[in-house]
Amino acid sequence: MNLLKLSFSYLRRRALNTLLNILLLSFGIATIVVLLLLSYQLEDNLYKNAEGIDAVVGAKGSPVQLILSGIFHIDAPTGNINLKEARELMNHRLVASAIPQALGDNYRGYRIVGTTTAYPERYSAELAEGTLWDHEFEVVLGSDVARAEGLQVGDTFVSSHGFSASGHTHDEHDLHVVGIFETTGTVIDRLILTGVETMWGIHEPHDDHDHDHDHDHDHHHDHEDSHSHDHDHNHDHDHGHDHDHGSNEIAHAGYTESRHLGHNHSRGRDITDESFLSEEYDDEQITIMLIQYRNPLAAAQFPRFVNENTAMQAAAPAVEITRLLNLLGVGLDAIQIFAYILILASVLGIFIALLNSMKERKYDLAIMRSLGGSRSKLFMNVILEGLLISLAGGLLGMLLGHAAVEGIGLLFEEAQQFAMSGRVFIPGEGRVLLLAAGIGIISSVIPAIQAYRTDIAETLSKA
Amino acid sequence: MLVLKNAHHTYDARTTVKLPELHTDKGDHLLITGLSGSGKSTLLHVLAGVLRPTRGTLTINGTDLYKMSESQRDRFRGRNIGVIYQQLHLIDTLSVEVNIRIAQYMAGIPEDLNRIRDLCSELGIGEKMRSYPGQLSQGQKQRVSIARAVVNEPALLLADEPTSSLDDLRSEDVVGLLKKMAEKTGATLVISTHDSRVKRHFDNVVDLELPVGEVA
Ligand SMILES: Nc1ncnc2c1ncn2[C@@H]1O[C@H](COP(=O)(O)OP(=O)(O)OP(=O)(O)O)[C@@H](O)[C@H]1O
Ligand SMILES: [Mg+2]
Repeated sequence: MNLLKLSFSYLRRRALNTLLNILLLSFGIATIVVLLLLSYQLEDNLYKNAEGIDAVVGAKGSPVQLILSGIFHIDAPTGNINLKEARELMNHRLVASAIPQALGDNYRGYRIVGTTTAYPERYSAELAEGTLWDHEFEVVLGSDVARAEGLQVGDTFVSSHGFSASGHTHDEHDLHVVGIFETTGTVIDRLILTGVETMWGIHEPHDDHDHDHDHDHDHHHDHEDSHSHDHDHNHDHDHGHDHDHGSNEIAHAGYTESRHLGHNHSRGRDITDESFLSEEYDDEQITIMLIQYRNPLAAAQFPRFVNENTAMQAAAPAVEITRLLNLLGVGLDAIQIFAYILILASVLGIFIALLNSMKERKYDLAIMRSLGGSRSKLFMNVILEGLLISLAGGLLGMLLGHAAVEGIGLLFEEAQQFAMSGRVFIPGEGRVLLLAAGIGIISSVIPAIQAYRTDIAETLSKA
Repeated sequence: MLVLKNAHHTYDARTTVKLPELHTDKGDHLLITGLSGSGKSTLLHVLAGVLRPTRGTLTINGTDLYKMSESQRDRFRGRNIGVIYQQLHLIDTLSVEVNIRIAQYMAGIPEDLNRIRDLCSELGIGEKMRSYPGQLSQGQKQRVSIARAVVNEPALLLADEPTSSLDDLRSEDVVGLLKKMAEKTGATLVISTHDSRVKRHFDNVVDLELPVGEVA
């Protein structure tokens, strides 16, 4: 016999009511937990991915879009920038380091990023297998990509144009998997990395007008065909866009020659982290540069310099992320108000249930007093009842919340970009349980005071 | 053992219940009689330590009950006084066994399942320990209530109209049981009744008059 058992016996008597109150509370708590988990993971993910990147440089357009596409690889880039201009900026006195990114292709929705080895280094991505790329058309996969697509070192695949899996296929060039990264918990996990030149090799650098290209042409070559690499074939992919290929064609030619020697040895040309800077590529384009400043003062000068003196723009991730989160915060606040209304309703529900139950059991309370039970014991008995309901609601709510976030993470592509998981626990959840406990106490304190005040003789003499 | 002196209780301006002088020894069996409204329940509540009389003192085994703090009195009552109320007041949400066990729990006495089992079979409700009060007959409920009152072996056993709802045969039974229970532990037994059938079992009878202000 203990108070817990006693409280439990009363809860069991009004099981349906108890269950309803538990459910009501759990929905409120679940909503709060979902908000907490989503915003925490989002924020964590945003800041973790943006760490050490002082500015993102790309084509003029929305700065938020630039950040989203350059750092998180969601949203389309604002456009491309000329390598020549980009190179000048790399040598700017305020820039300590600049990581180039050539974007524009994907494999089943996973973006292929033409970059330097400094990019995975930035995120401390270690190789799980294989090596980094040192030839054109060699790629290293993020861990999620390798797992989801079942790709291994030595496998080949062809990329699609654009940023979604529905773009047309560049089947004239196989991409060779030479390495796979360990899981980093960053954006790298969902990317396919390669040298900048690969991107120039597999398709022509495209500007903003390129987009209709994706939709107008359902352009599929079968794979057999793709092995006959001739230049005409390559040009089929231009779809009327008048690009100046220049050196790129030489690259293709060189590639095609060696390619025919056999899969294992056809690696395209050697590339290094600097090779893409060569003047022969002067007419090529890249998409984005991730900039690290030489000193903190640059934060004031560099973006202004870029925005005013070049055709490019520079955006600071810290500023844009904060702006983004603030925007999002307004929406989250609205949902949070809804959650608190649910919780308030459950407080009232528990309160009314306990108050009614006090009427039913005033004789029980009196008899317990008569049997020697102290006022504080009866007080605690009622508080405990409130606590049992609210903690059950709290725990169920946390369970539901985590399950919901896990579901969101699995179901929505957007959430996958941020690696949303319901299997993480964050410190704020302790406070949610405390909140639940508080709710139990608040809603039971008045009924408990009633129990405390039970007058034995008066109650028992009335039938 | 039990001494009540100079006591009366005033409920409101029109109702003052005069309480009799009582002086009993350990093991005494006392019967309180009186018409309805004469103050039997009032007296028993005062004796049980749950109703502070407006005036007067109650001593049980040398302890002045209404000089104690309330929590001390709760504790004293739990260990020394067993009460069977006019309405039995079993707790519906708890099984028979737990209804009895709760007396030990509330009094802070170690729970003793064997004692409860023995008591139940002695009172003829051994088969009903897992039942709930709602599943019992009136007579069975009364036995549970008796078991609950005596489980802590109180020095004072009080019963308010224990026979009022019973037929002749069972009324004899219950009085017999209460006397037997009291004798086993040497408890002082005080029973109130307006039932003349009970009188012949008691030598020691106190008759109450109607309270002041009441019209008979
Ligand atoms: N809580 C109360 N408030 C006001 N008056 C009360 C209260 N309890 C009892 N009384 C009054 O005190 C008097 C004695 O009541 P009590 O219940 O003690 O009588 P009783 O002898 O037990 O009657 P019965 O045989 O009907 O149980 C009655 O006049 C009753 O109306
Ligand atoms: Mg009475």
